[in-house]
Amino acid sequence: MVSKIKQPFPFEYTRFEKARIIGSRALQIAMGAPVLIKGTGKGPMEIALEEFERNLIPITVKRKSEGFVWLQKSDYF
Amino acid sequence: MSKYDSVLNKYPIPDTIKVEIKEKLEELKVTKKVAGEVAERCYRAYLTNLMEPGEAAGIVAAQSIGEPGTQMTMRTFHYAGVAEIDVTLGLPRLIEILDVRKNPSTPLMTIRLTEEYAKDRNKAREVANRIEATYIVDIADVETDIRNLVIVVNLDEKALKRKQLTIDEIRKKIEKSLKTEVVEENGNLIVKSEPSYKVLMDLFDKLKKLVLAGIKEIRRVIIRKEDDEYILYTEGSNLKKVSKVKGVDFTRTITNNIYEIYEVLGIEAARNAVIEEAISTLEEQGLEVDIRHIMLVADTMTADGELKQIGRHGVAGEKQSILARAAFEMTVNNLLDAAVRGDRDRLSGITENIIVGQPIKLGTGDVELITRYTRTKK
Repeated sequence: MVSKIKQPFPFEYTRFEKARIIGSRALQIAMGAPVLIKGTGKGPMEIALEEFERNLIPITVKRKSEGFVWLQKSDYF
Repeated sequence: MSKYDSVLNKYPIPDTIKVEIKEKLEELKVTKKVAGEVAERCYRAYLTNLMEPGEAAGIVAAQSIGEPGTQMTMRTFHYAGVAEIDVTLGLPRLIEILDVRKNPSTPLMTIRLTEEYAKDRNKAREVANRIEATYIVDIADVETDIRNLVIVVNLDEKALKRKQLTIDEIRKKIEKSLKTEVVEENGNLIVKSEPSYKVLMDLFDKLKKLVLAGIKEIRRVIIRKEDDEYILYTEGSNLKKVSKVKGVDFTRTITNNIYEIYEVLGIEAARNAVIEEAISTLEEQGLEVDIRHIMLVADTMTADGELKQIGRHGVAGEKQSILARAAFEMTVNNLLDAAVRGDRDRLSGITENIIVGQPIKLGTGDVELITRYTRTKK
């Protein structure tokens, strides 16, 4: 009875994934990685956050089908 | 088929929620367009209430049950509940449920009757007599006659009538169970024994323990009228036997002995019983715990198809990790046994990784990062 229509999950990343991505990026920046946005007077955290907002961070997550994270971006459930 | 079905089936939400929404929609008789809007909003609300992958659901459940649990009465509290039946409540009862005791301290049954028997008090009494365990002392005075080496059973006519038993029935029952001769003598029953004092006393003890009618485990039956129906409440429980008694509506009969439900009705029924009993125990104490926390507990208890307790002999004791088991109870025994067997710990769970000081597979710890080569514009 359940119709198989594709419904995107309301978020791209879970809050844990978001935290992890931003955290890693902020660490890179803090250690001297090239920054992808313009502007001065910001700390690594703010830069990482803005980069994430603008979808510039070249990092994504790997999801395992057998792991805890099982939802794809658009998934049946 | 309702006209709202097609609207609701567009959304992958649980059937129970669909039914609820449908009922409300039918009550309000809204148009299909409005129904679509409602379904959309409900779906959004449903999604925001979902747990995110990686969240520590078990720990949240443990805290959510544990925190109000501190306010429960520590004492074994009995109260005169439904019709003067004692019920274990509060913390002791909750422990009983989670430990899956085979013999809970206060087993109870609520027996509803078939239509034929439910409306009439005498008919209900009839069923009650078939269920309630009747001993010889309930219906007669029993004496030993040492001079003639016989037991004299002085039957009480009134009690017999109330229990709907005849003298002949009792005579046959005693004769069959004790394998001795029983004769009727002006309203009394004479149980004959071998000419030995010891045998006579043994016989006397056996006679006192003999269940003449009803089910052994059911110690007391109380008949109460609720709405226009007579309901039986019993002290003691035996679901299997009660279900076979004539006049009992098995589909509406319940017991608070979870293990019995598991044996008679199966694992799914046991899961529902665990949830129901735990929720009602907490609610009775005025504590509100979300049902989903308790459902998680019930699920872990029943996931393997058998009812396991939370503890050494169940969920915690069957963990595959040695360190997790050792961290729970009987540390030395667990480690020693594991060493003797040459076991390996795969370090796949939470507890063992905390012990060895590694990130755990929960929340941010469960996220694996990889490089993204394409840059998508938002």
